[in-house]
Amino acid sequence: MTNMAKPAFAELGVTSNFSFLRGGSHPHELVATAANLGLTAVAIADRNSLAGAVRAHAAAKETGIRLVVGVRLVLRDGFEALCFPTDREAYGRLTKLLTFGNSKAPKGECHINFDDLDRLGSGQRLIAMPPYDFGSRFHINLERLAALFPGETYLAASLNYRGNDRARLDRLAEFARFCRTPLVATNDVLYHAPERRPLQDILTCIREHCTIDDAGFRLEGNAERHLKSPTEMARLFPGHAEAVARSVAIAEDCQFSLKELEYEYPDEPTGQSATPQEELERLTWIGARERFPEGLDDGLREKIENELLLIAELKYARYFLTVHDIVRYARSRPKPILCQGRGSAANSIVCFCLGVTSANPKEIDLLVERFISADRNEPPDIDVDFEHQRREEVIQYIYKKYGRHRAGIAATLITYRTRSAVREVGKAMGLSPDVVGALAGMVWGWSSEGVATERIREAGLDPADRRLHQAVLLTKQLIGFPRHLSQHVGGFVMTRGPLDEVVPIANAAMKDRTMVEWDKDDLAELGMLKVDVLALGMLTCLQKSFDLLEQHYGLTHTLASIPREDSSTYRMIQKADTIGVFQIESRAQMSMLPRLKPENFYDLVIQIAIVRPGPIQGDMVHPYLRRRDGLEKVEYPSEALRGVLYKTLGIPLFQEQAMKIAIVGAGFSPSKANQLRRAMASFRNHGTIGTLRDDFIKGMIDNDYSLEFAERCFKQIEGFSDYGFPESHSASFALLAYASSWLKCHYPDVFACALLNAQPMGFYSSSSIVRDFRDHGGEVRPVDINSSIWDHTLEPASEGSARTESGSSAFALRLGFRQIDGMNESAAHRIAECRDRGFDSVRDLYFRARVDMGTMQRLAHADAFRSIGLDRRAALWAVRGLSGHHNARAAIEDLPLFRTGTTAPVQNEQDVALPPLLPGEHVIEDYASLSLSLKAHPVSFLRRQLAARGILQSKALQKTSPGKLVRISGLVLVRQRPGTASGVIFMTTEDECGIANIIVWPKIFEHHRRIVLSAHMVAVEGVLQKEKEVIHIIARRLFDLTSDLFDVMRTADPAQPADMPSRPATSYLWRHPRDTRVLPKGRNFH
Amino acid sequence: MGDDLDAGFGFDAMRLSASSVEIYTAEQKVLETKSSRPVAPEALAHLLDRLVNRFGAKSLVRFAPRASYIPERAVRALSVLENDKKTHDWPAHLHALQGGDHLGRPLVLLSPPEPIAALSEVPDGPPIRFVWNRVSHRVARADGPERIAPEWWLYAENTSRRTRDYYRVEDATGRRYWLFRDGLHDRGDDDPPAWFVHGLFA
Repeated sequence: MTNMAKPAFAELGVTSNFSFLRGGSHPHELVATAANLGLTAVAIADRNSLAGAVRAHAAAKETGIRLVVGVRLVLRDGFEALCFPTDREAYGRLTKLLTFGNSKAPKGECHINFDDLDRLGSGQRLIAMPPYDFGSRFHINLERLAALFPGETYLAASLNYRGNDRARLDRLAEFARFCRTPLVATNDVLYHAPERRPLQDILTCIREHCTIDDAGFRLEGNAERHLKSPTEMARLFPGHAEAVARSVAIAEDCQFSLKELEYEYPDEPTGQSATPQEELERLTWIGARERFPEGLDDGLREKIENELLLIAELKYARYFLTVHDIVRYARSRPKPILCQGRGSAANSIVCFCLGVTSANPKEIDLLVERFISADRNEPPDIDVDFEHQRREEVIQYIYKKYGRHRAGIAATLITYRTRSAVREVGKAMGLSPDVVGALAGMVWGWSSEGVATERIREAGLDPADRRLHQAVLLTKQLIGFPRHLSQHVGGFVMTRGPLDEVVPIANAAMKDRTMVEWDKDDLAELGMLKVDVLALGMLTCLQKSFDLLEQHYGLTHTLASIPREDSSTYRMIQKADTIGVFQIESRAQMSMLPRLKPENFYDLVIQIAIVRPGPIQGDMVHPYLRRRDGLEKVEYPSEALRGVLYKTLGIPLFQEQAMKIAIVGAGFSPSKANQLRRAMASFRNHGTIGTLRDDFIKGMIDNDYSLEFAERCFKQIEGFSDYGFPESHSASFALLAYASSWLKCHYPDVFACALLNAQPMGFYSSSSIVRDFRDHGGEVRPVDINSSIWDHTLEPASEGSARTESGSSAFALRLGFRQIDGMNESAAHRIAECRDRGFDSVRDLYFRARVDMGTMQRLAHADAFRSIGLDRRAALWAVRGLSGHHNARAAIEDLPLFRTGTTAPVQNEQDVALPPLLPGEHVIEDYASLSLSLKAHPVSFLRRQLAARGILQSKALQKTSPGKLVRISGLVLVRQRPGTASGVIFMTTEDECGIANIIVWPKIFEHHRRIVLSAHMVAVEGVLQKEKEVIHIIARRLFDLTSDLFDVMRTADPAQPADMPSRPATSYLWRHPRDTRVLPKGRNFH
Repeated sequence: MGDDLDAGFGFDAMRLSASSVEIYTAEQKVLETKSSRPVAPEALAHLLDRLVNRFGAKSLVRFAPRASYIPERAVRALSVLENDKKTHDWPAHLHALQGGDHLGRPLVLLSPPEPIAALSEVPDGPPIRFVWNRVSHRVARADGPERIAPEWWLYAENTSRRTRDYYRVEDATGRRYWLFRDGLHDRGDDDPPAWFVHGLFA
């Protein structure tokens, strides 16, 4: 009886690009193609990994095809078999097996032997994948597999198109009969369509480290390993129709889906409360009383109640309790760890009451729907910042509390970006490195039409060269391909049951760190909650400031107790005197401050949010500033919208405002407004935004707004989701910005000391922080064996301490041993411990503190012996005289006979008159050892020559009128290319008087590229521009003065006239290789 | 086999089957077979020198395998003087191309392949009948297709850039040919696929 029904087929043998450097297509491409071809079901079975499973799951949901979840097990001896679990328990055993294999292997590998397979238990479907040339070894393994999993083992049959397919199929059929492992047809897919073959060849070359010309037989001979339709598969396997049909039967057996991974939050102790929700409510109301000591008004009370209801409905209570517990732990340490929630969680009043976040609903409108919403599509994501130096304690607590089997860090998928893709493809195509370099800049603009060919020729390439053309096309395909998994910064997943039964756990690069195979988006897709445990340098700085404030001024302050709305603090901010201040210290921010002139907290919130890249600039920032300056009338599109926009003068600046416009103006429900925001945010959701747009416009029209206005509104808020800040997040950051400003304003000594102790962090180097402190009148004392400890400290000041807006501060800053390059912390502690009444000689230090020679030398290099009258050269001489080998102690000093308790030298050496170091040399040595110098600024040594060339000091710019052509010079501190400013580069230079701001337009940059990017010291000729109090120089020409600087520093004495060098100039041929590394290279920012 | 077999009514037919076969790699030892003396290894080198002196270096070539699936590129001709250090492992080459139990590729390749007319089942059935140089052949047995895609990274001027399907066919007289169709039927090429004979089996 002829079966006229259409053939059915499920492709189970599919390798995606999550089998790194093997699969040639993304999971979503494979799933979509499978759906288009009319397959009954499809599986993505990657090599020993489930990393791509969630993406496949999401794609399958979208396209409506059923996904079979599984893995391609690749054993150590090379035997391969697909494994598909039939139910949840079988899946858990599979993930456990993979976790086991990962644990035995280095990062990126999974070692599984045949014996390990019995961990799989029953309830799997295994399909053995024979190699092309299968023989007795495969036969043995197949029999073993069938014996382990009777009735559950199958044999894959695929066509190789090598000319002997029929014969090979017949042999496979024999094996199948013999071992009782029925045949299943598969195409052993590597890519979704034959056009991907070239890319897959390139992947092979990258993996095998060869070029395409040398790859030879490592490549596939044809492009047949793509997804094929059921009809085609039936045609290709004549006489084996049952093998084709069997694929569907196996797929039927394996109904397990990832949505069965119901996420179970860990249990927190609930004390006396009966349920987590009750406990949460109890803690919330207690916290509310603390946060609002004057009592709750009706509005606030209702907000809290509504939010608690929402949490109960969504059953998220446990999650809040988990986060609360982590924060509680941090704060309950003997020395509390400062922490603060950030991001959309700051919209939650419950989080505020629990003390997790700091955005006060009395200052900011909180929109809880931005954080959690009833449409259940997006689980909450609470990110908490901790002091960066102590974050590890919190991480260890989490591991300890939940155990490594219940807590793991999320992964981050590292993909090929333009540069790495061009490099790999270029290498594989046999292109030379210069060609690859030239291509890197052109990948996105490449086209075969005339427009781009000129640029191609300019770069020295031949536009007709096909190999180049191919390389570019392949590069574009490779961009976005997974490269490897890496550990996420701090996203923790915590489960109630064993984590390794939910997802395979793999080794991360860091020792003792493990991560799960899924990234943030995957976890969110499955509704698994995670907590981000992040590190924020400013929190460390603030905590240290509070400690110092208590220690030296006797004042106790917390983030919450700092006096708010202090006018002198705002005055300081308005002048952009904000080096070291959180968020508003970058060049881009500093140039905005005098224009916006924040005078209250909400202004700060706005300030932080508006200096961002993207369309927000043109549509939002400039109109806002114009209205603020009174250049434009403040008006509102309607009374209803006035309520939403009055705080920002009628211009939407925040994501929540965009959502509220949809709610108030277009009648959206809060959860629909959140949907709209997410639809705009995601590049992937192209479908939904169309209907939402129509709803929005219709809703606005219904509320009597004009069509034109509605469309304009929609367009305006479209840019938000990527670039706009949530208001609450900006508020959380504004609080830190305010706190750090207040400290800098009123207690600059405390602030500078804490900031230096919290390095590395922030925008500026130690050198700049110290210079800024001194510019404000602060006194800084050098590192010294008789006064310093490991950390920087404060000492009572002599006359003339730092003056600020509010008065003077009482302390001088003593640099600590930590500033010395390569200094050992325990040695520093020992020196401080053994110091007693002071060291009086090099020997004294060496004996009493028992430090090693290396440390002695570093101290000498750092000029730390001045208190005993030795400068660095004399100190080095004395240290050498201790006659120990490097890092070892001289044997003679350790002989008991000589340990007399006196410190008299064993030999009496003649005093030697050493030639003194020149001041310039001292400065260079200072920079080499300490990365800063208190003695002089490097540029001061060149000032005479600079002045002769008409180069001004930075302080002279204040008195110069705008529009004039000026010349300025200095060390390059910072280069910033903010996304706000269309390719413009901000440079900051520093001379002996202060900093200057240079603006380099793209055209000038192209001419002076090397200088801008690599010079340590530059001279700039340009036009002076003043906008309010911000002074910029628009660069016209740039000169590299780095080598001039070094020459002068090593030869000239600034006190002497330029034509009489005190020493013969060192030959240009001899330059200490260390010199060019010593001065700051300048930091680069985006 | 020492005992006499009882012939009964006589043998009508005898069938010889090889139950297991080993690969027999032919190796050429000497050019002449009359002498049983082993030939000194330098003798070949001397011969080559004399031939090169007489005919020029370019006239004397040696075939070396190249790791390419494309048949005409799988072999390259090296001048005998070229000191190619690699030992040419032909068995490994053939194994890599087509696996252990395969009959291999034909010894003789036509350069260029000669066009033929062929009748076959679309899309990828082997030819049933073909005409070469006005001689018609009926195909009795066929194996294939062996699908070989072009080396997309190369641009030879006169090779086709289409995928080929190779078939080993045996005609009614027992001769074996290596035919291929240049181009696939369902790929939507502008030109229809064309048939060629590429080689002859021994």
